[in-house]
This record gives sequence, C-alpha cells and structure tokens, in this order.
Amino acid sequence: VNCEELRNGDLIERYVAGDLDAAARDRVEAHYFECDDCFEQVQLARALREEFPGPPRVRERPVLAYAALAAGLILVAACGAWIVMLRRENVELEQRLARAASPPPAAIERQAQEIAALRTRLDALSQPELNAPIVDLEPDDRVRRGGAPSPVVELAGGVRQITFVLTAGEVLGPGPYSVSIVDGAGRVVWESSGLRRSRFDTFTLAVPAALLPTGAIAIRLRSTADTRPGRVQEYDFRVVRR
Amino acid sequence: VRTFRDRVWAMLLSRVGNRDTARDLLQEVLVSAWRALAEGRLRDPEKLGAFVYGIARNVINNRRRTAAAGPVEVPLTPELELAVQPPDFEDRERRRLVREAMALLEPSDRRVLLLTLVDNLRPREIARRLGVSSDVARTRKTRALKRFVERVRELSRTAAADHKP
Repeated sequence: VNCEELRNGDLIERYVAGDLDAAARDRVEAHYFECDDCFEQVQLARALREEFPGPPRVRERPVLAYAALAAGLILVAACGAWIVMLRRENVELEQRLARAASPPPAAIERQAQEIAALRTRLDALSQPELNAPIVDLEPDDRVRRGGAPSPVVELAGGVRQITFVLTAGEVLGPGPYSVSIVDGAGRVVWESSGLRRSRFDTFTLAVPAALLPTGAIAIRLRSTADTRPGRVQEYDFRVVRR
Repeated sequence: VRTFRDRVWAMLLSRVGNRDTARDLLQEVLVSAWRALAEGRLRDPEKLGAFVYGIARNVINNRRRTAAAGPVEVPLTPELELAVQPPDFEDRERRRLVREAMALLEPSDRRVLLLTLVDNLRPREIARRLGVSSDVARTRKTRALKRFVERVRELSRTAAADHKP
C-alpha cells in the first residue's frame, strides 16, 4: 500500500482498532516501517484512543438492523424447533427399531421352542415309518345295515401316519371327490378335493395321526360333479390312543 | 536500533495483548536486528525498514511457536540495554500533546476525529451522524486529521524549544 491508500482507506484507524485481518495488518506495518508520516499518524491515532477512551459507546441501530435481527431470531427459533422435532422423531424411530430388532426374552424363548419342535417333527417325518397302520373302512350304510358298531382305530404312541382304505359306497356319483374329516362335535378338522376312485373301487387316504382327535370321527366323501343332498358317503370310526 | 524502536513497539502492541510479553519481544527484536546489522546481513541500506520489520515478524512468529519456552535471555551492553526499553516516556509525552492539540481544535474537527479514531466508525456511519454525504465526511476527516497533526507538531516543537538550555 502507499500513503494515499493507507489514509483514504481508513486502514490506519482500523489497524489501531485491531479490525484488520492478518494480511492487511502486515501491509500496514510494512508500510509504516518505511514511512515517517504514516507512522506518525499511527502513533497519534493510538495516543488519541488511549487518551480519549471514554465509556463504551452504543452504536445506533437503524430500523432495518432491528428487522434483520428479528428475522434472524425467528429463523434461528424455527431451525431450533425443527431440529428438536427431528431429534424427537429420531429417538422414537430408534426405540421402535430397537424393539423390532430385539423382541422380549419370553418371545425369543417361545420361538426357540417352536423351532426345536418343528425340527423334531421334520426329522421324524423324514424317516420311513415301520409297521404303519392301514385301516379298512366300509361306508356307514353298509355297516349300519349289518348292525355292527363303529370300528375302533387304536393308535400307539409312535404312530405318525394312518392309511385309510375306503370302500366306495353306492350313493356316490361320478368323480372326482371331495373329502373331509369331522370330529365328534361336527367340526371339520380337515378337508380337500381331488380324491380319485381306484380300480378296486376303493379310495386311499393317508392321514397324520396328529390330525385325528381322540373319540368319534367321520370321513365324508362327496362327488364334486353331483351335489344333490344325500349324495354323501360317510365312514364312522373311533380313535383310541394307547 | 533506536530509530525503529517505536515502530517495533507499535507493531507489538497491535499483535501482542500482554504488555510484559511485548516488552520482552521488543528487546528480542531489537537485539536480533542489531546483531543482523553488525553481521552485515543488510544488503540494501535503503530497505532498512523492511529489514527490521522482517526480523520483527520472524521473532514474533518464533515466539508463538515456542511460547512455552519463555523469553530468551540475552546479555546486553549498557547502551543497548537503554535502547531496547519500551518508549514509555515518549508515549506519555505523546498523549499529553494529543490532549492539548484536541483542545485547540474546532469542535467540528474534534467530533470527526473522535468518531473516526476512537469510535472507529466507517465513513458512511460518520456521514449519517453528521448529516452529510460520505464524500463530505471523508473530506472533513482528512482536513481534521491534518489540522490535528499540525497542532501536535507545533506543540512538540514548542516543548522541545522550552527544554533547550
């Protein structure tokens, strides 16, 4: 800088007041190290500040400055509220994620037991079953006609599956047939369709032992092509577990 | 050394907040400058000011890097000891001259100088306070400053003449 820049640009006042950045301060100092007149002004400006410090003077604030200040405060408050809201949402989300990621210990224990039981059953079902029972059933009408009681199916503890061979009755229409298993209270335990008559005029149905409740049970067959009332073939029996 | 003592002191007062630290650094800068001159490290005598300023900056920067080390103790000759003292007397004398010169100025000049040099207001703000344009405020500040410096110089010459035997 030269003398003119130093004096017209208010650099001396700002230097003495400590308002300059490092680069501008260096330029001012480098200049007054080689300029007596400018250094004299620096000295006098400093002496003037030291001699007339006076009380701290409050600068007048124009209306626009107050408006800008108010706008700034509102903006800061709005940002603060937004940040608080976001943080609250984050906390809730983290809590929900934590709950989802870590279910209660009781639920974990229950799930583990269920998985273990399923594995046991899957292992058992994957193995051949020796001496699996086969039960021949006659339609009720034929049994009833003979006056005989409902047959009894005894299930030992290790039995996993029972194969029923159902002799076709006279009331059935043409196939295919639907089939349902009904317990003693009349509730349908299981049902399906697609059952076909064999060339020996029988039906074959393999049923998991766990599906059959103890007590009176009926297997009902119906022609899906002939839905007239009374066209149902029923096979009654009793399940006894040993 | 004495020629640049006041400049180095002014520089230190601007950069170092602690007056005692500034006092230590002043001694360090001036001794370093004296040694450098004695060793013939100044190539261009016309750039003596820049040379001393460079040494002062280096000393200050080195002290900042080794702030924990404390001041460097340097054995001084009696003459050098006197030369490296802060210009406290001169500062006090200058403040007296400034006070008297301000009293001799017109009130309008005094006000401009106080707004400029003490309140550190920008020309635009000074213009608003004075109810004039920025250019007029700047012109008034320049003239007031010029008259102020002249008054100080006159008072200084008078004081020097009074002290002559």
